[in-house]
Amino acid sequence: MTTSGSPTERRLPHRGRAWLFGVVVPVLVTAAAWVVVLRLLPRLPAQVALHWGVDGVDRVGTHTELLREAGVIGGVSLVVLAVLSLATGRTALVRRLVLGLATGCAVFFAGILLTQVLLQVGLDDPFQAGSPDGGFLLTVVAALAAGALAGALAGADPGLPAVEAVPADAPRTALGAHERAVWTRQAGPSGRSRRWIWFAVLVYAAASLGFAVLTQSWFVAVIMLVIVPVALTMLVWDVRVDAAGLTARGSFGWPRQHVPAAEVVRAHVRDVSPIREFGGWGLRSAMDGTVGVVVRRGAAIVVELTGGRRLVVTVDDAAAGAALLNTYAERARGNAPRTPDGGGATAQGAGAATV
Amino acid sequence: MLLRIDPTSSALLFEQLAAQVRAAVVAGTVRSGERLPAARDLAESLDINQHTVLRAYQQLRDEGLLELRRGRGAVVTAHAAEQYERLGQALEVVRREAHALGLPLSAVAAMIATEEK
Repeated sequence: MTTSGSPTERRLPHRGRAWLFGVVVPVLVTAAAWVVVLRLLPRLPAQVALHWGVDGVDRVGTHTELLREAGVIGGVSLVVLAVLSLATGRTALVRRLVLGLATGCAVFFAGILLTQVLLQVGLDDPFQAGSPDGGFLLTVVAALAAGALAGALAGADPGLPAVEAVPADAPRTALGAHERAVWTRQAGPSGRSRRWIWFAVLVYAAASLGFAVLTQSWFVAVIMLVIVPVALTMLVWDVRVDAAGLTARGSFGWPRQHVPAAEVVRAHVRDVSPIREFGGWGLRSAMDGTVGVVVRRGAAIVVELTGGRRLVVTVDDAAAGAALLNTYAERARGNAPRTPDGGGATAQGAGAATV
Repeated sequence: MLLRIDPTSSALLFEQLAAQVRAAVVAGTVRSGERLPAARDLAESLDINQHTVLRAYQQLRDEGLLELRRGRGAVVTAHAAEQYERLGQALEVVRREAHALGLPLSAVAAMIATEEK
């Protein structure tokens, strides 16, 4: 999309999609739900159910209260996420997350309101309203699907190769003209933290099952347990620096963060505090839009990218990774063609092994 | 772990790889139980044939340095570094002697290689 090759391009990419999934779709979904609700309003009991507890409806109120509660929470979510959609999204991660949230939340709040209203159409007594579990589950599934779709369509980062040379003071790996190198490292919490994490997962799983039994709602357990595998994939990462750039992959190959060597302005090492800078661990975004793969406190590779983007990866031996990335960023600047030299290599003449 | 290859070097590519992994284990930069990158990923990163990487891994397995497990990739054997302890000490003596004699280590390496034949 971007036509300018300037490395200092400050304009946010994919603004059309930001308007579509951050504003237009959420507003249309919300408006559609409200039109249906307002038309059904005369057929609801005078006092409507506002809240369901363990034993069914536990709070009722007037139509105005119903509309005010739904309007405030849905309206605030709509406005906040619309503003975020238009104001942020320099990196694909943040763009996908915010646009997915904007569309998903609109579907979620619309579905909750519709479920609440549809259960009471034609009733005289709001306490006769049936269980909302089915409607809520449908709402959650629809919201997740809509959010995932919006996120998928939010657009990858447009190519933005760096033009200026890698700064002279950036550390580099000495590499012969024909040499090729790769640096790999697994990033993850220390052994002791790992045991604590497994312990926490077990406690959490037991708690969600106990909670589900207590409330007699399997729906609660499903929602609570779905988060566990998602959180676990973000704990251990394979980090790799090679001619293609830097790649960090979660335990199951996903999620994946990749920055092409050609778009690296420079890489260096800095101490990072997950809580203070990113508000937690895992794949994250800081307030300034910096994307972080942060699994522990301490040394991290900080990659400054074109277009004002930045990626931070907490990993041991970060200096070696950063230096090799600078070297390959420099190689990517020149148009020195790489001669692929696969196969057959083992058939070359014998010689003394280099130690 | 940083692995590098030089296709213009006279040493075979798989030997270059094996030598570096071996050196990393002996130096302790790769610990026992640690998993090496998958052969396919390593081959892709270095732009070489996957069989070249597998051949290096197989040689290290034959030396007792690695365990190759289906699905889990190549894992550094427990106590792998210990079996190199005596060799490491011997090399230290060789390095000191070479330094005292003013011999470059490449010359020493050549002497060792010739002796083998």
